[in-house]
Amino acid sequence: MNNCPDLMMIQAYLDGEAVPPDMEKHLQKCPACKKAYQELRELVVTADKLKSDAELPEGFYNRLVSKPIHKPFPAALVAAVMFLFAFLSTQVLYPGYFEWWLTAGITHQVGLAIDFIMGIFYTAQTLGYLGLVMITLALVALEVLILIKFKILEGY
Amino acid sequence: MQELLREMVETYGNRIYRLALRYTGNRPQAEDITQETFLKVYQNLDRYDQNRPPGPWIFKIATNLCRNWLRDNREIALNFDEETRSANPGPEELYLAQEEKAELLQAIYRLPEKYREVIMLKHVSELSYNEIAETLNLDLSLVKNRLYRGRLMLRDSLTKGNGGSVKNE
Repeated sequence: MNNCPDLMMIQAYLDGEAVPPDMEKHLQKCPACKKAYQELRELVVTADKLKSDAELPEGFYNRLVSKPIHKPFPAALVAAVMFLFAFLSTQVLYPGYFEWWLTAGITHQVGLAIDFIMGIFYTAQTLGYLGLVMITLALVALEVLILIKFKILEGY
Repeated sequence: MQELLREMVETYGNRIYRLALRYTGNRPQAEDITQETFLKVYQNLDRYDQNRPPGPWIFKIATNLCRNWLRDNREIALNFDEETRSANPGPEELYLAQEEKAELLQAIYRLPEKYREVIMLKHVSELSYNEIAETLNLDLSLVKNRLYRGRLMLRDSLTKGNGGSVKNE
């Protein structure tokens, strides 16, 4: 028979999806398609045994809303406090002592890292309080952006 | 917000619960997964676009949770099915029907994940092709294909897997 529907189309018909209107008629007339239909139907009937008529247990909704809803961890706020504390501490600590403490017993392989940290330290000292607050805000904004990005990537 | 949540539970709650029940085979676990699904829904309600039907989004969360559950509890899933085995045996025919169902579940656990997920969403949660495609982020043609191949595998697994004891339909 010409223009027979393909297997996927017959399957769609069985699954109650939208199919061409003359499909049913064709299935009655065309023996090959009728056979395919019956075979597919058997597959669907087998899988349909997975169906369940279980209902949510009594009181499900009440249990759901009585649970404490965990608000997202205020990561941005915590980070802000930590950044600010770290920067402010550079204002009060004596850098020379700090540098000695950092370098004591350390080979020059980590010298670069220490130079970098000390660089931040000295820069922070020259910035003053307003500059520190600005840097903190910038870092927090960056972190919030990253958090938002991750939430989108989670796919919810 | 709570009103919206209640609506969603009314519309999708039972179908999510059945899905979780088929994955876990155990009512308390299934309720836990359903609770967790709606908690996540509630936490993210502000980010959900109200112009689109929420079904695929909710089923995606539920499917992810079920997938994780199965990954962590594969042994339990393969050896234990409280719903079909412990409940009242009843008359002989009913008991046979339950045995058959347990075998069907074993067969579904043996399917590769990508086929299992499509079959579960279709036969347990009764989603349409389009909804399945959106839930699993798949092409429509891929959904049809996996559904077909999954059903074939399911049948083959049933006829080979247990000496033909489910022959009589």
